[in-house]
Amino acid sequence: MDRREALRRAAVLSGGTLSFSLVTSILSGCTAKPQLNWKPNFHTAEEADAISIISDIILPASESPSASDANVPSFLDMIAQECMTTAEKSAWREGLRKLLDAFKEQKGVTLNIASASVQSEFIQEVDQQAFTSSSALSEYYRIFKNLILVGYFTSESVMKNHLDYHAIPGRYDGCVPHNGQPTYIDNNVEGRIV
Amino acid sequence: MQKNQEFDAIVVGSGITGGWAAKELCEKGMKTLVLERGNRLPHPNYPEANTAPWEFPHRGTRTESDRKEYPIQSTVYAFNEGTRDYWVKDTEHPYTSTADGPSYKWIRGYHEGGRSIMWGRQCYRWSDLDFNANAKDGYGVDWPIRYKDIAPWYSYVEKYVGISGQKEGLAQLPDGEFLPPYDMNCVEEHVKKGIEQVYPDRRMTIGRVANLTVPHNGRGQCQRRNLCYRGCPYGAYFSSQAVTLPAAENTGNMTFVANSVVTKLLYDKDTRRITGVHVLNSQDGTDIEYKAKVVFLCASTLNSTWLLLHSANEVFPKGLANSSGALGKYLMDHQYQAGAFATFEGFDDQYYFGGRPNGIYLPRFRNVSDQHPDFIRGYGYQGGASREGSLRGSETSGIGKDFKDELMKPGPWNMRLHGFGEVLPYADNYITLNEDVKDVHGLPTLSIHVKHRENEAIMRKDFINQAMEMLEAVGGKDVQSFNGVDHPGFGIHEMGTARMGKDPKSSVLNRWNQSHDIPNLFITDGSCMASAACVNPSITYMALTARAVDYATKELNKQNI
Repeated sequence: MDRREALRRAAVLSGGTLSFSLVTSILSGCTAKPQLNWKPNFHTAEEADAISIISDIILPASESPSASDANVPSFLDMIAQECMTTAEKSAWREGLRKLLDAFKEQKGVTLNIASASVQSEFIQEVDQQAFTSSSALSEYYRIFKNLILVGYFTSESVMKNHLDYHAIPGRYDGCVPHNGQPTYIDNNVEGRIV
Repeated sequence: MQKNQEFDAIVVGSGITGGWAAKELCEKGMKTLVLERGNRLPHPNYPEANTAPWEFPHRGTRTESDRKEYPIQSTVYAFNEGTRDYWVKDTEHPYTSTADGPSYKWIRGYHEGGRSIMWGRQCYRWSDLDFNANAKDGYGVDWPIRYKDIAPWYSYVEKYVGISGQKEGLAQLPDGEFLPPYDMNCVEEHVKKGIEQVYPDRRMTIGRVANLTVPHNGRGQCQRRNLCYRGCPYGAYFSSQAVTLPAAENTGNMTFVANSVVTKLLYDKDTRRITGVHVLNSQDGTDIEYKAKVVFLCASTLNSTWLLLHSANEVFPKGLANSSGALGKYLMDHQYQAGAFATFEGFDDQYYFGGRPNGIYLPRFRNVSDQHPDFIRGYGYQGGASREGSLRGSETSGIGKDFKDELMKPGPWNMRLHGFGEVLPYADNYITLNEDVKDVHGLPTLSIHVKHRENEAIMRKDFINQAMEMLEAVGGKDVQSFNGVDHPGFGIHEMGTARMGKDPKSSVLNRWNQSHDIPNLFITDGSCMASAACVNPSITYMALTARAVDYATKELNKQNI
């Protein structure tokens, strides 16, 4: 069993989805200092900052931690460095730059130093468009969002403290009442990873 | 070269059939040598069995180097950071796919236990519908056995293996010796009732699976972790290292030698018998020969046939035991990766608890009592229902606290049906030795020439359409079909290339899995199959193996071998 999940997860990281047109413009004038508690291997400090900001807009702190509190940005950096092919890496970087360029073009300021409300507004728009349009930016954003969610929901603090996690469930009950409790989850994340 | 170590029996391979051959031979008092080409992987020392998701650096994602070293194996559903070491490096063990159409995917594990460590564990008996199929429609040669010949051996191995399941009384899917079944969840129950109401000739049952729902034969029961592919420290599913190899070891009759690549079977043309095997040590490159009275080939479908092709001599220039010319031909698999899924509403107050290492099974209903106008043989479905998890957020718009908090709760119910369809035996689906491409040991490799044809394509359309129709009929919403690339071999149920048959002129093996040409040679892995049916084959291999050992030892005692 569990062949069933193969199709759902097959598409997302396969090279074909990361086919972007070449972007030659280079970010300029950004002087934001990185506030990271980790050292990026793949991304520039500026890109890493942007990833942290966007991750926390998508998954901010509530009763559960924010994306960056769950170490999602460093997870993304490692996936880009160690899981992507050369072609995927450059497509990933170009996608991120396209996103940041679009921000600067629309808002007249680089994302990293914009106000939180302007940042949020922009990501909200990109997110809405990502699931209704098939632009290169939308394709990049969907992969970006997927990896943020993977990093977040497989992190130790979220699994242990905010999902119904059982390393050794010991039994299978086919029908139990659901009254709004968190998602049942065990160590078998294979089917849920891209 | 070392020589003249003598045994009663040699078993080549320690996977699902090699383990059974070893156990049965040893328990009958035979001094048995088991040769495994890979490393030892003894129960219960599975390196990642207890690793939490967050402890895997890439959280299960295939790395760039995985995709380079394992370009084929890493596409398997069960390949991830927790199972990586169980798959062969494609770069070290190449093969060549030569037919037009989707490439052949050969999925392998070279280590103690072979693929019994990462198999899907579904166990379904064949019926006379299957054993009669070749005779009825003329594809392939008639099976030399019928259900009554194998039924007691199904019972014999099932009782030992431990298979959970539900008796259904179906002629086309005979009941077995079952441990208590796993539960269906409430959407599966709903779908089952609906389908059986709308289609009186169809039945949905819980998967019959080699996992222990209760303790069995000294092994612990399933802890519902659903981590089987990493190896089970409780021994709660069947694998060679957890079950049959320890039994063989306990007799004191087994000698297990790892890192032993059998490169040739040694044949004596005067006695017309196999005298032994030639082995290459995969670690230090040294050679050794072992002698035995009888040899069981259990090296997996394609590798057992590779060994016979590579052992050709002046008596058998087209491959050892190949006077028929059938060796290497009639390679089959199951076609899958196509079906349908749907959402089910009205069950949001229902959930489940635990990781069930199993799904549902919907047995064959086509060409059981009537004849479909467009295709022969049949298919079944595996599948299951579950609620979507947190990653559903990747496929929808939404950001912020409410979005995140909502993703902490389970999402909508989905039900999936995946068809598994029979592939016919065709003479021009075949393998040959390829001297131009060498493996890591410098040995010739295989060219694999396989494609699925018209009957498969028509059947595939039907099982996609029927999956959609059934899900719609029982109230599924947003019913969608899926149809992945049908790579032959990717069903990981490769069968044929040394088929059983009544006539030595058209088959390699007789009704006892014994070579027509060489009486002390038995082949009991998937290469022996004369047709493929539509159910998972492993339990049939196990039953055939135990039956063949019983026959072989009796014949040895009568000095007929």
